[in-house]
Amino acid sequence: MGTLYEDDVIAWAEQQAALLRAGRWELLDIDNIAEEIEDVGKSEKRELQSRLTVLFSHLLKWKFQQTRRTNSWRKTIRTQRAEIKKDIKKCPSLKTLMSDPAWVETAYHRAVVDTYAQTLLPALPIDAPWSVAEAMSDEFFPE
Amino acid sequence: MSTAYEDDVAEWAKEQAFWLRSGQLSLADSLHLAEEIEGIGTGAIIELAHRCSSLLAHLARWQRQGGNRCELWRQLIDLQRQRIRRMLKRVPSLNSVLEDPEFLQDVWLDALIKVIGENACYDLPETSLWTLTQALAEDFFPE
Repeated sequence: MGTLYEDDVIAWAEQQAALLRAGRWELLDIDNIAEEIEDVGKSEKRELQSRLTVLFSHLLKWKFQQTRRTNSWRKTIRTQRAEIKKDIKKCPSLKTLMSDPAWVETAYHRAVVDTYAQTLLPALPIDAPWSVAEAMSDEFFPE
Repeated sequence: MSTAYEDDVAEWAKEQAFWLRSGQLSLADSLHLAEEIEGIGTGAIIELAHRCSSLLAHLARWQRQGGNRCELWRQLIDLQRQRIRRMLKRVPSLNSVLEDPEFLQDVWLDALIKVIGENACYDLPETSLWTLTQALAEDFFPE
C-alpha cells in the first residue's frame, strides 16, 4: 500500500488543495507539495528557451538564405522578439537565464539542429555569430 | 519580502518551495498553492484525451474503411488501449473523466478532425458512435 500521492496523483491533488484552502497545515503532505511547486517555474523556463531557439533559427535563416529576406520574414523575427520580451515582463526572474552563457548556448545549438533539418543548409556556425543582446535588438538583421 | 504570484511565478514557486521545506508555513501562499496543486491533474487529462481521440479515430477507420483492415491496424488499436489502461491504473481517478459525456464529446470531435478528410469518413455523425468503455473493450472491433 503506497501513499495517495503514488496511488492517484489527481485524487492527492484535490485532497491537498482542499487542505490548503482550509489552512490545515498539520495534515498536508509538505514534501510532495514542495516538489510539485518547484516544477511550476520550469514550464516558463522551457517556453522561454524554445522561443529563443525559434528566434535564433529565424536569424540563421535570415543570414544564410538571402533570397528569402522579405518584409514578412522581418516581421516574423520582430514578433518573436516581442513574445520573448512579453515572457520576461511576466516573469522578470527569467532575465537571469538570458545572461547564462550555457543556457543560451543550448538554445543556439537546438536552433542549428532545427535549421539544418528544415533547410539542409551546410556549414551553419557551431558558435552563435551574435550575442543575445544583438539577437534581441529591434534593428538587428545579420548580414 | 516574498514575491507575489502575479509578479513572477517562477520566483514565487522557488520561494514557496523554500518556505515549505524549511517549515515556515506562515509565509506560504496557501491559496495560490492550492490552485497550482489542482492544476496537476490537467496534464494527465490532456494526455488521456489525446490517446482516446486517437483510439476513436482508429475505430472509425476500422468501421468505415473495411477494405483496408490489416494486422497493423489491429495492433495500433490494441496498443493504444493498453496504454490507456496503464494510465488508468496509475491514476484511477481518471476513470471518472472517461465517463464524463463532455469529455467524450471533446475527444470525438478531435477524432473527427483526424479522419474527416479520409475515405468514407466524411459523413461520420457529430456525436460519438461508441462510449469510451466500449472503445476500450479488448475485443471490440466495430463492423
